Amino acid sequence: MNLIKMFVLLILLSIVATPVHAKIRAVGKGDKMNFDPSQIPADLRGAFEIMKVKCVQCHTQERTVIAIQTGIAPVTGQPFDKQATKAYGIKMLRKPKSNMTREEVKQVVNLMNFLIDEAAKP
Amino acid sequence: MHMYKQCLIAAVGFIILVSSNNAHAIPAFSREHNTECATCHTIFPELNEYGDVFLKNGFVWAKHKKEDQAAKPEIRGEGDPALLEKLKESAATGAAPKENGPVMSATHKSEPLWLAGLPQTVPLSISATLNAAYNDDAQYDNVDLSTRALSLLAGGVFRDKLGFFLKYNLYAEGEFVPAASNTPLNSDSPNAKDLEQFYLVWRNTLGTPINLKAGRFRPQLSLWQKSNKVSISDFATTSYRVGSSTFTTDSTADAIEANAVLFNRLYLAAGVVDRDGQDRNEGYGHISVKIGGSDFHAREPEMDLDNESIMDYLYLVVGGYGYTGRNSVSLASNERNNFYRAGVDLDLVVKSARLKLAWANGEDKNPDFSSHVKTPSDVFAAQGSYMVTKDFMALFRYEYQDIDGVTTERYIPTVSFSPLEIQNTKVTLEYQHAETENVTSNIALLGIRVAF
Repeated sequence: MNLIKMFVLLILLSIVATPVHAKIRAVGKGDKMNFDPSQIPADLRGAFEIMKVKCVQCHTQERTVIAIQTGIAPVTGQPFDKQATKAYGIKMLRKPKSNMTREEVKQVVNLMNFLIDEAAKP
Repeated sequence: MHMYKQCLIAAVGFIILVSSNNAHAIPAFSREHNTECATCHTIFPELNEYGDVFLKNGFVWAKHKKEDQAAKPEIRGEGDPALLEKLKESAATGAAPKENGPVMSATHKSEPLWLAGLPQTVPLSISATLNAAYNDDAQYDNVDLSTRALSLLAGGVFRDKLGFFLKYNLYAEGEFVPAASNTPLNSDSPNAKDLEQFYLVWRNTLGTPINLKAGRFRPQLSLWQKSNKVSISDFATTSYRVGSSTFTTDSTADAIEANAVLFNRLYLAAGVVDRDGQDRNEGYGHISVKIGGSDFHAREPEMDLDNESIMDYLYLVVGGYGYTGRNSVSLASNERNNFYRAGVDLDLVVKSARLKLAWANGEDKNPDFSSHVKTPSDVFAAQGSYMVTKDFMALFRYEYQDIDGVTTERYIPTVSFSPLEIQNTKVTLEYQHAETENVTSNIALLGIRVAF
């Protein structure tokens, strides 16, 4: 009997429970995944547009989303923090034919730092 | 005229023989680390600076430990629930309460596989090469079209401790002899070189920066090994031979090597080679230094993003090596050839442009295994390349070779295309103009290579 009660309770709990929504939201799946544009503040929208156009020349946005959400760079397994965002920015700036300017890299690094801060919020 | 034709035939044979070789570019690494070929290669199999680090580090991404805190992934956010669930599972095995835990390199890490020390994927790849050669001066047949090489490749690392690499030639074209056949049969060993490479790397031996490598491999000598090139033909500095000796600095050999990255930008390697049929081992050493760019641990340089400087896009690697050894024509022969090779290489990269310089010097004391006539050799190569687009490279190489006073000059323009959409496929068009004494030869090569 106790087992049945517990089972029913668990079912009720699963019905009423709502998933915890952290600050960083993503839309789409797989190679269509991207950050939810609605969470990008107006002053970083330009950087977001740059990111959408330039970063996907070489890799999907899914890779960036995973890095921000998990705090781990998916390929190397290294921590993806603010120190890493600048290093990745420099790497992409130096990458042949990345077609990124310093100003663009700065803006994208700022955006990623913002997203990291947002993701860190409870 | 007879010598002229012989030179042409030898040149074609040489090119075909060298073009069938390849190595470290293997899709098994892409699958294991869930990343694209361009992560490590310019146009495969030529390595970029990150691929070079991956190779030096025994097929493990360099780990940058933070002193104050360990990497503890915390799953946040939302998106694809299934993906996040996998990430949580991955983080559970990657959060590293255990030392040297698995790298969260993909979204499908398995704890049981990690506990067993197994790679997450079966680390096998196939590489195949089709070549077409056009020789206007050929004696019998101007066009030669046939499959040149089919190789089984494997590589990876067991629990970040023991790296391994294997290349088994399922098929390798033998020496091209137009008088016998346009499409020669698959050659038996040793030309087929079935097991071309198999070696293990004990990473960070006993907690030191030293990696111990043992097995059959190419000793670390020149920066420009045949596994690190875009063109079809190899650098003359690493592939030239003297007399009847089969030695080249790119030959694979049974060897033990110790190598290490020191001070982040200094790479040292030294090893001994055991050649069949002799009781004295051969020895070699290598040193290279990197200035600018990311270091040998793939750490990016500090850069002021507010001020432009050409130095931010430049890096230079200077390397030197030496090899001393001896060989013979057969196990039964008492005729030995004592020889040495020494060389200096330079790699200069500025944005999309790259300059490779190489100089090799050597001496063979009995290269025909009978006359004991010392034969000096000096070979120089210079190659400039430019990435026109992300998937298209144009390059030009000049080579000058002087072996005992017989000089050869080669002019080799090449273009290579590896489409971004299918980075495992490459098309290369190469033209060779060679002048030896008063004899010239012109050969065009088209190579198509796939790896999967």
